[in-house]
Amino acid sequence: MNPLNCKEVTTRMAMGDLNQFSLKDRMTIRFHLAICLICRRYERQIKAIGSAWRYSIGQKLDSKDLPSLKSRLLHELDKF
Amino acid sequence: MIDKNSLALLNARDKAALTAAVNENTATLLRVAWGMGWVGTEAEDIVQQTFVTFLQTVPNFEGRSSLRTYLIGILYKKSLEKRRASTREEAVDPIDQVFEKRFGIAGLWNTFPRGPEDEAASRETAVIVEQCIENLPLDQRTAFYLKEVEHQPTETLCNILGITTTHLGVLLFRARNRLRECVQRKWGKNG
Repeated sequence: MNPLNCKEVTTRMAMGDLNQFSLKDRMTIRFHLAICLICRRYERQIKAIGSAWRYSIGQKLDSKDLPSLKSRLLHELDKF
Repeated sequence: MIDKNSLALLNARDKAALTAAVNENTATLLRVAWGMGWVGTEAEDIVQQTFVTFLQTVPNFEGRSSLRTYLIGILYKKSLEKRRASTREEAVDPIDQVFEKRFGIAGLWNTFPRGPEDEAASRETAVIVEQCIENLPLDQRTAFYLKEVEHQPTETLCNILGITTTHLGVLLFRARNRLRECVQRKWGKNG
């Protein structure tokens, strides 16, 4: 099994869905992440950015009057 | 997937079917509109236009994806039109050079990536992230949002953005690097 370097692992992780890789590639990536603190940290930072963004969108949604928006939308859609 | 019967009801403007479609999808569409950068009444307007376009094009919808995916696809196309943004990905993006510089020979990191790592500290990180997402082109921004915030699978993302998995990989790669570099820069200043 050829080991992947950090740059290759980080690039492959960005592809989103690891399932698109072969089993061998997935295992190589997992193995690298298990031993490489820096790549793990990079991935944790990406997840932290996603969860911070989710937090701010969630805050906005909580303060939104959805029922009145929905009835306004339905009223408008009646015209089409 | 959406069945033919529900589509026929929507096409006939059946009140109950329409109410259900609006009830089930408004919150998601509003979140995605915010995710794409629409603010205040702009976001509500584009959600409304999405539903209107949907009603006008129901006969073209073959029901191969879920109604939600289809609606988000319309929302994305509307956003592109409004921003007059090009969907064509530049062959050269300056962020790729920044990424290259992070690695030394043998492809090992030559710097330690700094920045937030704690998913529980979202409140503190949110302010920085909100500033950084403004630097992203709409396609990268939407790809990252749908993947990391809405947790949509690859197939759905490609469907919504109308692109291949390879192209999606490039968008996500650039979005991740651009966001992370920006957050690291601002994070250093704050602490």
